[in-house]
Amino acid sequence: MSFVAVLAWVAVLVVAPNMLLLFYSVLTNRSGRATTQLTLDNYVSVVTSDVTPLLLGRTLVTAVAAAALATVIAYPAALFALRNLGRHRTLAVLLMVVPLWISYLVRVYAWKIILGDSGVINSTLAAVGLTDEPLSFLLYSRFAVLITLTYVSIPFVFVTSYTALERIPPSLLEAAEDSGASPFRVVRHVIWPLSRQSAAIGFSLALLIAVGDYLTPSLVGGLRGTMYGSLVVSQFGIANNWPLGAALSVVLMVVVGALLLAVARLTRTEGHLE
Amino acid sequence: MSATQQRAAVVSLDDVTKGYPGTDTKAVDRVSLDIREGEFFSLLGPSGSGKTSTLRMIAGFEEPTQGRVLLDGLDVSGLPPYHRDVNTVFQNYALFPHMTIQRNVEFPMRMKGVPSREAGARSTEALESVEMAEYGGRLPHQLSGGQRQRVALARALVGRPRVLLLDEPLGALDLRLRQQMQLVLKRLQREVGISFVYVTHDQGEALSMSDRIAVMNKGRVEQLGSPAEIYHRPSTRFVASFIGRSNLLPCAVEALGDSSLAHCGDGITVMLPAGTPAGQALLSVRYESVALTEGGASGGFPVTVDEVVFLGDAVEIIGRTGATVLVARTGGQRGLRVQRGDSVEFAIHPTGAVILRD
Repeated sequence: MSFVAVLAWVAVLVVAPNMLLLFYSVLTNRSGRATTQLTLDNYVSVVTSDVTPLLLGRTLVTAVAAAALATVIAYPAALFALRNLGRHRTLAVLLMVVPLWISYLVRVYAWKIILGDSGVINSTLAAVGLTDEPLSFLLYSRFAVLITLTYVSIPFVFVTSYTALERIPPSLLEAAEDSGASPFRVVRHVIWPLSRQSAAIGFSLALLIAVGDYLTPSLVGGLRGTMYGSLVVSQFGIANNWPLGAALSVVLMVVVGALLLAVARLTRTEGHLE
Repeated sequence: MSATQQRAAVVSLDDVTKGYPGTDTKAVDRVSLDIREGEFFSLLGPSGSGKTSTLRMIAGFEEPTQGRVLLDGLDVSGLPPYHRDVNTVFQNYALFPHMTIQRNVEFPMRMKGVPSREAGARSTEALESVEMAEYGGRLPHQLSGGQRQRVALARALVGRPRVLLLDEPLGALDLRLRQQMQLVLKRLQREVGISFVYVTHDQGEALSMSDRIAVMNKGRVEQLGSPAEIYHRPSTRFVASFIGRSNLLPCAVEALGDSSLAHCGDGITVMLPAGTPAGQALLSVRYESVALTEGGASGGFPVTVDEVVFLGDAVEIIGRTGATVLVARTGGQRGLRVQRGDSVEFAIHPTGAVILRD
């Protein structure tokens, strides 16, 4: 029974929408209406476009960079919280996760306030006398998109890393130290191999959030910060060209899928904890 | 150093105390002892007696709040575990689940920077010594508990530490495997000649394997000695009741010139060596030192049999005289003929009676 329920769930909520997307991507757009004349033209125009491949590349670089930055920050933070904060670590986890309770829009908007011309950073710099005029590259740039996406990603990597690190029995770390491993080598040879799969899941979540995001680019990215997601949205919206939008989505899904597969492969670890 | 200590001390605990924040009771309370070169030394005690804390301070996982730990005469206070020439076998084996058996055993040598060819050869040798060489390519979760324990031993011994610490290593194994592993451990210890410090709550393990035993209770060492000393000459009430089975009798000791006599009430008297301090004392008599005697034997006293317990290789007879209840353990056929309610005669073997300091 439960197996059937799961199958039905997967069919309705996972398979069907994606099939629909795939189906739309081979339809022909006639002045804002998708007609059932099957074609691969949408894909051809995605690939041959001047802008799209460039935008895809830029988006992937930004998203991977944001996810990687988030991992570089959140993984050591999780390790630190677990090993050094003692009984305060639950509080640390809570503080890391609290931003998730706040609306995504608000969190992105907060960065606008921080990075803006009269924002926290620029006014502080001006008050101290370090700058004469605001640093304009802070907001409405790829830099702003990167910072914001990194910030948004950190809780996801933190939580997945933390739960994995928590599962490693302390006796394994003691056994490594006992065998002559310095704290750094304990991390390198025992802790990281036993938790990198989970860190990779956090990284993948962050990547997925970043790669499809159109809100952040539109709020803090400006023209130079435009991302692939914005393009997809505009096809489904203003341009009213659903088949092209679907083709753009399918291309992104395939590329990101391949990327995630590679990440999973690279972080695979033999053996498992009891 | 005393005359009995011919061999040098590898580990010395000097007035070591371990307390934890938020509690007044000390896990380890002013323990001083020496563990000698090549010795099989056991820390025996119930849970919470401080034996594991003591071991962890030798390993470097915990620091004493007071006192010093010396390895080869050098104070190792503040020295982290990875700088101590000591290895531990953990109760739950603690094998690295993501490394093959071979890699697990090579790990300590990789950390020491031993060239990989030599590391490989030595770990194979170590695995051979525990008869696990053919499992080198497997992962820990593919092995049974007993096999994992052997691998843990190989990993701890491969770097030839000065001291091997074992924290209840057989605790998770079933009885037969445990007995088998006891032999493996004893043989290994003899072969490699490394000092073993063995933590256990199992008196049988401690008595059968150790050269010396420190019996611990409430953070203190109650008695330190060879298994035979600990067993036959317990010095405290705790040791007498924790190891083996003893009758404890309050007695009045009287000096009689070339010997002493203990009066234990209800007509029970026991001869003791000369020089035993006179006065009130607690006498410990092992069950097997109470003999079932024929009528009229010297020192014998009549008892009524309350219960007869058949144990296979022996029989325990619980006898009563007045307010005193005594247990005699006998391996002979005679014990089998005794029945509840019989009147028999017990005698206490003088060499099996010990005055306890309380």
